[in-house]
Amino acid sequence: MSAAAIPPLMLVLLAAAVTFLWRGLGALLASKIDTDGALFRWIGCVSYATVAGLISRMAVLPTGDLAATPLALRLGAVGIGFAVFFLAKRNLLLAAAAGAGSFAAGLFFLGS
Amino acid sequence: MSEPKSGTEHSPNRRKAFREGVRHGLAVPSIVVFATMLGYGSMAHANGFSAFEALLSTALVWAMPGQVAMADLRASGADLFVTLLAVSMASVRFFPMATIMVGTFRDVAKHPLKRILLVHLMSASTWPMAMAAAQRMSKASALAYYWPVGGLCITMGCIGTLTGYWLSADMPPFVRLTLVFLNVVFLSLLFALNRDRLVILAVCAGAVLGPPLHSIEPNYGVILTGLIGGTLAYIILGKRR
Repeated sequence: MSAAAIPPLMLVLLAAAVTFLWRGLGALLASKIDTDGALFRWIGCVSYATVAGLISRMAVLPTGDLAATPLALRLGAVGIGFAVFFLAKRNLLLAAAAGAGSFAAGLFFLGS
Repeated sequence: MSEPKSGTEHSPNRRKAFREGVRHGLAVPSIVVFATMLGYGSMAHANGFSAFEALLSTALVWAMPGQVAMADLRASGADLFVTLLAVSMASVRFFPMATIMVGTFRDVAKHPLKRILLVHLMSASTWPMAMAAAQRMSKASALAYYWPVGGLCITMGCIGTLTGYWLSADMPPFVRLTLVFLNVVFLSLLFALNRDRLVILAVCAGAVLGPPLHSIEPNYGVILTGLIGGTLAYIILGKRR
């Protein structure tokens, strides 16, 4: 069954439940478990790779209206964001503003 | 877990800690949360969620990568099972964070409801603030500090979501597209905050594998990316520690 087949409200509640699962399990098992162990390092890796894969796919192969924007503009804007992040002593807000700003400027000059 | 070195006699009392929490909660973290959720609100609008559903997802999920995964995978036509699995996989980090946080506040937050609220308000910005507070003040004061920090951040997140949602409805297309794109910018920058080599490798593996695996297998691509990329990173750097 597709995720779009159920009402969005139901999807939101289910997403909240599967997210709280980890918070709740952590609270229940607090300090009874070694979260630095091998299993947890592997799970952590899988989690980071999942989100990174999703973000990279959203940048390279976006769904919706973003798909009509040039790939070079999307990647360039993320690149500018990263460059500003490291040049500006890891300032997250400034970097995000630079990335989003260059994307907006690019769209504007391309006439979208 | 190491006990804080500072004696409680030098610790601010709970009222003072609470006020400090309000000040810190209103500073940079809540601005960052507002800005990230601005993008998420726009994305929720673009992907067919109502304003109420968007607001509810920020208040109840309270994990931006998971929320973005939910909205994006729904729009890309993924299975419900795949979507929920990806949302859940995106939030595994809360497990170790919650064990440490509840362990730290074990004696001052005994009621189950208090513990539920404690772990629900955790985020990438509030958790480190609570942990830092527990090092420099008594546990009771640190908890009094954490409530306004967490409460203000999630409130700012909800306001950001609604703002993004309504901006998205009224702004010219290039602004709307930029707001949706803000999700990509913020989430990739959040990775850049990491200094752990194992995490960086897992992120790079996922980023490289994500698009091709999605092209090959549009439905399970995101899960395969996590399993293959994460396992590769673990085999290369994670086995010896």
